[in-house]
Amino acid sequence: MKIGKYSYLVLGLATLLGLFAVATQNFGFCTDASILTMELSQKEGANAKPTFTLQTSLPTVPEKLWIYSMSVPTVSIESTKKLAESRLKVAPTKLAEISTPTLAKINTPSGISSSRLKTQAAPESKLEATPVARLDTTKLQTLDQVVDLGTTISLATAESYVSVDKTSAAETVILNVPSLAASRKAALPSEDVLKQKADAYAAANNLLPEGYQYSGMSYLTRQEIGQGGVQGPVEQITGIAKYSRTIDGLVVEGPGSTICVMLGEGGQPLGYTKVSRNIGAKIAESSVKAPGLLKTMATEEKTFELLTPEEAFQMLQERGMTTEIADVNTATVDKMYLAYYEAEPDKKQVETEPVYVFEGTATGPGGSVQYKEFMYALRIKNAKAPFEMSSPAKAKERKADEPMTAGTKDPELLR
Amino acid sequence: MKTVILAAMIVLIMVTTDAVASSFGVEYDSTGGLGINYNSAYDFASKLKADGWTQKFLWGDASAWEKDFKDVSKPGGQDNYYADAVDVVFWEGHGAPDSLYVPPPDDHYVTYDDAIWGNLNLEWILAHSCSVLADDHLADWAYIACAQGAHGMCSHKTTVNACNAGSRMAELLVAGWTFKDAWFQQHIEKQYTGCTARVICTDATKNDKLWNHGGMAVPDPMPGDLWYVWTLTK
Repeated sequence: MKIGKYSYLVLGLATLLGLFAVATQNFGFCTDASILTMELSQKEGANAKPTFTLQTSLPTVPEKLWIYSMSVPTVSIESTKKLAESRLKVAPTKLAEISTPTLAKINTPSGISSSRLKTQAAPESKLEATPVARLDTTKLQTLDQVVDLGTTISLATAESYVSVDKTSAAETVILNVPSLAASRKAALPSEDVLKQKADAYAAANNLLPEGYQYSGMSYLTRQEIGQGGVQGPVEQITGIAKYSRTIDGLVVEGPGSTICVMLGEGGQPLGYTKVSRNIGAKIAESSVKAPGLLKTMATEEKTFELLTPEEAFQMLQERGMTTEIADVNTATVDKMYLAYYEAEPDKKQVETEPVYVFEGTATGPGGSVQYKEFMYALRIKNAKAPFEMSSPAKAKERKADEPMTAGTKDPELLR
Repeated sequence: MKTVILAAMIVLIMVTTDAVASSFGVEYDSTGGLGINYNSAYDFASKLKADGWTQKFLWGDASAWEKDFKDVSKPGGQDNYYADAVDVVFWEGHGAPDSLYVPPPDDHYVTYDDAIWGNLNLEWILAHSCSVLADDHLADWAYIACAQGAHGMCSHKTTVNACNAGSRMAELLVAGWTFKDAWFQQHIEKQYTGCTARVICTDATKNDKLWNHGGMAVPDPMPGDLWYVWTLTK
């Protein structure tokens, strides 16, 4: 009898242990996140946990989504010179002589004092034409003066500008910087014409890697501000033809994977900005469905667990908004979808993985704001709250009686 | 006599430096995981200093105070020592359509009606924050906060991701770009698709550059001048 009692006890414990193991095991999902180095720009909003209202259907999650490596070419002064030469079609010699008086002004011992030479009460309309207005850019008019600025390698001339980010190889090439600022004398051509011009420029300069497609036209616009807000017609100043790419049918979101061709008067290309790392090999997979232990053991690819859309929406409600936003009480979710993500140029990124994207309007006492929120779609990446991430350097302590000198009006602006 | 001459020379040097040098100030909020804002603020400052500008103040987190942006004529305001004592101010932190949001312990909100910028010195304020220039209070920022002499303000209509905008903005300004074009260029490079940047300024100040890279419109905008909003959605 005694033995039987113990048998029941042992059997009961074993069952409990089994149930516990089943409940807690990961069914083969990878728990080593060391290869998942992609970072979203997720920060804690200030008073930004609104009540979210879902006004769209939840997205369908594919059975499997891959995680890809990313790479960038090495950036050097030489590679930047080559880019500048090919894009600007300049010879690798001095483009212009700088007059001696002008050089004397440039070489004034204090950069600041030379600044004050500029404004001899020149009205705004004459700013571009004044010799001094060209000083600091004209002096860089040779390819030999491509400079390493720390995060970028750049060439600035009076007319043109080339820079390549050292972390991501992101390129900005502006063929005519002054024309960016110009007001249009006539309306821009139609979107179709602008697109054709942008396509031709992109093709001629081999700007679009495989997978990129035209994704729409934005405009730099100008509008009057009346006492009650914006008023009058919206003047289109510059067209921005945008190209983006997809991976496995999902759009790549974030600052990267964007190529923007700027277009001015008559659709004339003004230059472009390209933030596009190379997509490499598949390094892991992700799924909402557990691969099972046996399958995991049989395959080399790691499988990470994807959040379901329901879980992602729940998590959005719990964590709130993660941008530079403050003070919102309510927010609609008008769009929710899965995407891949590519970061801004100066951030190192060697892999891309799925994210959830939420779009809508957030409202607070100050007004309404359109927002876009990104969330890691991999469960393991959401284990940490955004504000638990690396803490910033401590700000300098300040005393209330910190001595300061009151400001004064700039002499040239005294009326 | 020698002492008097020496003292006079020292005073002259101090006064001349302050009067002649272009100056800027930076405040930021790097709390709540906004660590990149610290880098953005310091990189902006270091690049302008390297260009010969005088840094008049650089305060962050609990040391960034609402009163620094508040007009001296308003209760507790001391912008005559800070925001309105310099030519360019860079704010890196949270924002809402009606305010810049400075972190505790000070009053959180620098609202448009706290500010009268430019009646002393300020020309440009760059607010890398969400939604400060959303539609709701666009006219208030233009005609209440800025129209007494400021040249322009840069911010956003939508939410914006924290990033090192300061470094790139300073780089472009020092390369001779206008405030407006530099703001939009760093926006194209660093923000997500659909994010909207805005610049408000007058027609006369739209091509303003750093004082030592082309300069700004003279004279200052006058109350009553018409202001414009420039908008770009990436």
